[in-house]
Amino acid sequence: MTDQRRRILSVAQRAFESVCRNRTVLAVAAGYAIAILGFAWVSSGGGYLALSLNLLTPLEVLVPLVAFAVGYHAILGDRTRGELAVLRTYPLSGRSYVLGVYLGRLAALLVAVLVPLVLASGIVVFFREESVSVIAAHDTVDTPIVYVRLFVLTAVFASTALAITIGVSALAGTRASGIALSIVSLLAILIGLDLAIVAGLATDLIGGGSLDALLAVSPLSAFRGLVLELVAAPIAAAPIAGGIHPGWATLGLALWTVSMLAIGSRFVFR
Amino acid sequence: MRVVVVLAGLALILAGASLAFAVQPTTDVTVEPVAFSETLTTGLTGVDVRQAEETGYEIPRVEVFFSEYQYVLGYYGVESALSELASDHTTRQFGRPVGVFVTDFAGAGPAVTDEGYLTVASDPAVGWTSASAASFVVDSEARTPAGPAIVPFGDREAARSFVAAYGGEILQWSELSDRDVTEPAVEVEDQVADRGQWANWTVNRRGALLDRETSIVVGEDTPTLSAAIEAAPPNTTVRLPSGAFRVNVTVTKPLTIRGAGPETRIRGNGSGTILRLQSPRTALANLSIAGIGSENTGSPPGSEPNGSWDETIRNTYGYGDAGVVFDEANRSLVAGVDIETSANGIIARDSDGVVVRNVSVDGTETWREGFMSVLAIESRMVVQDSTFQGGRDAVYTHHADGIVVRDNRMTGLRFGVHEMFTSRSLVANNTVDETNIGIVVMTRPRSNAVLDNHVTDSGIGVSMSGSASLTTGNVLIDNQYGLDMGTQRSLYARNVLVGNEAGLRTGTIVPTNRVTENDIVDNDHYVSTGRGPVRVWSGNYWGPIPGQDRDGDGTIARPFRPSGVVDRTVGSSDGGGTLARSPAVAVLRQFQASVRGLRSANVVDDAPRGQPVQPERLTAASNATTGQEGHP
Repeated sequence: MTDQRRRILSVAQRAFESVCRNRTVLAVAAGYAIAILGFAWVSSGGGYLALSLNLLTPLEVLVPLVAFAVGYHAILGDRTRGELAVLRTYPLSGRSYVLGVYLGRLAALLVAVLVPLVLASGIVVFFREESVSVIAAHDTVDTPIVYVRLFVLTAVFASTALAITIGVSALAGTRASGIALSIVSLLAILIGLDLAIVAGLATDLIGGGSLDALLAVSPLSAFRGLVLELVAAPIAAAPIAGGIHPGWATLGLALWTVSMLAIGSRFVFR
Repeated sequence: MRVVVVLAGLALILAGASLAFAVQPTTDVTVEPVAFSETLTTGLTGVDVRQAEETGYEIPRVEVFFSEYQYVLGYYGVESALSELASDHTTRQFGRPVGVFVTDFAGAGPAVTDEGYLTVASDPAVGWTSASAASFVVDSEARTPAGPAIVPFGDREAARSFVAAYGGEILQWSELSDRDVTEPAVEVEDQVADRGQWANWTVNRRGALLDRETSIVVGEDTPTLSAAIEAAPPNTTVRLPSGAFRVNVTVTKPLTIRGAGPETRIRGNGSGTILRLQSPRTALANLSIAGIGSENTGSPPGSEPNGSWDETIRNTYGYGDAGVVFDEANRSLVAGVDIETSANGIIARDSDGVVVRNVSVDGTETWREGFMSVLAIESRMVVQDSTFQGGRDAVYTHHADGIVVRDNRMTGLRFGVHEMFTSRSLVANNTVDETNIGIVVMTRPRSNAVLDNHVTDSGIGVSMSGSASLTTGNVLIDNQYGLDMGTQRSLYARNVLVGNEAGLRTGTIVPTNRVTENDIVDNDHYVSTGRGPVRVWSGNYWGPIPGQDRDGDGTIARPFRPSGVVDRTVGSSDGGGTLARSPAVAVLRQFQASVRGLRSANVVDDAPRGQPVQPERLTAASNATTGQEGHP
């Protein structure tokens, strides 16, 4: 293992432990888990496709919120406590530091986000509509594959959301500006980008034809498009199209992740 | 915990889960035909199927597997499957058909009998073949009890030889689907006017029976009614003045027996039936009957069991004590007769075209002791403008296809109108109250119409079963259940349901009814749902509900879920409306409209109305409710 890699892992370990100790984060994660299980419970009796579609919108809203709770204080905390100044004296590059923090927090975030999803699938398995034995039943198009796909896509989406939060956290100078910046960026992700696209459509700045590529710019729309395209569309009877090319959407999410981490690396030891 | 371990674990899990993208979820669910008895069957009527089974005739059948519905649907008759598959409603409920199988008559040695029914030479019965690969013979001589049959063959050669023998032409499944198929309930809507006209015409024609010249006046020309009937020439009137007449007679010639009003009192001795009319074109008018025996059921004298499917009903129900019994007395009439009975009022056996009008039947106080006010067996009758009070059922029909029951008043019975094995009936404009069920259709018949009736204070207002039936314009108030929808492929429209414990009750597991333009207001519950997948209805008025009519088309943009956890409270609590507007609830509902068959029992109105469909009738109904609970 190279020194650089060892340093990244040390930073990650430290970040991971600090999240696990953080009661606020634990509370947010618990709230998220209850919400997801609640939404899943309401759709009980349906299949995996119904569950996936029911969870889509809650995930769009809640995953960035959990990512925000896990990440907004990540680098800002070190900065305000003066620990960043100490770290600067170590042979540790900005990139290694940001990457380490990201990985450490990502581990915690993914556990918090994905475990409730696994539990939610239990509702489909254990609370199926009771079947009538005298009547022949057959397999419907419903399959757990669609839910597993949603699971993976949610992990990707959470990674992007965390990268954005960490990037913003690296930029913030003070605690107050950190919170403000995080909230503004959160709102921008949740509502702003989609609204901007709508505004663009309204003023004819954006033609309808370029929409399937432009939607990839908004992480939320990219995630939603991927779910509709890869989870719902293959088996739903009524056509549900994501209206987005999966390649563009994946590229959009990847670019957001990489660029926000790069910005963070560039400006963390400013 | 080491972060490396957690990260490695997550990476491993996600890598494994990513394999889900490598596997393409199949849209082609592979299905194999199943035994027809294991499907949820629909299509022809119970009577038609039983008759075909008994006589050994074949009915072409279809099995359909839907992408979002786990049960297999079986259709009697290719055309019933076609009309079902052609409807948008079907896709919305069940998804796409992923497998359609039809009975394969190739190699079964199909033949057509003289009556046009399909038989096969092979035993066991025919197998299954995929519809897309099959050839269908249409417009041949073959028919089912319900109409022309479409006969499927797995092999084109076999279809050709069938056409050579019995005519018709060969079409493929896709060509069949393009043929114009009318929704069965809409067909019934077109027929309702004809049924009313038939009834008008029949009532008019029977009126002539009261114009026959008087040949004998009892008390002047002969001492007794029996002697008068004996002496009177056919097609004349025997007149009865006021007074009491002790009789027990059988009429075997076309006579009119006419009293001077209720004060002409025909009295039995308290046992048996009083008047047996056994000739076509007999008439009974303007008198009252009492002293009828109290045996509700009986058995025909000297009958041999003949093994027919409905022997029990015919031979027990049809032979109880009654005021008047018509036996093979087609085109007869009872008018202006008051009957007091502890068993039956009027029984008609095998008597078509009989008219019962302006009759009053007073039955027993508790229904268990009495029996039917009017009992129609294999008799296409008109029952109108009459009053029925007490006893078991006001009108009980057994295999009385085409019967018309209208403008009657029924109070304090078990059932108002009770139809068994009866198709193509018209039950209209009756006023029923304080019954267990106002109007009930049982035994899977077809094409019945229940229109503009008014049922209050009963256990169930209208209870339907069968298929391709029409239930429209009824006003159902203060019942336990307003409307019980046990039918398939039927239409429920423009009904007004107010003040019931539950407005609507869904019955069958196959949700194929169309429910639209009903006003469902101020019931304790909107809907009581049975099992099965979600039901999609459209365009009903549910009272004030959350959501707005954004584009002014009269429809609330937000779908309404009358049985959903939040929406079902809207009618009873103002808080329900507030909760329903919560973003959290909005999020919950967001995608709940996209995949339906996979969901559990629930009702969605995807275009609820902002305004009542029939404001005046709704206001009148609301004023009529007492706010009390329905009669048990």
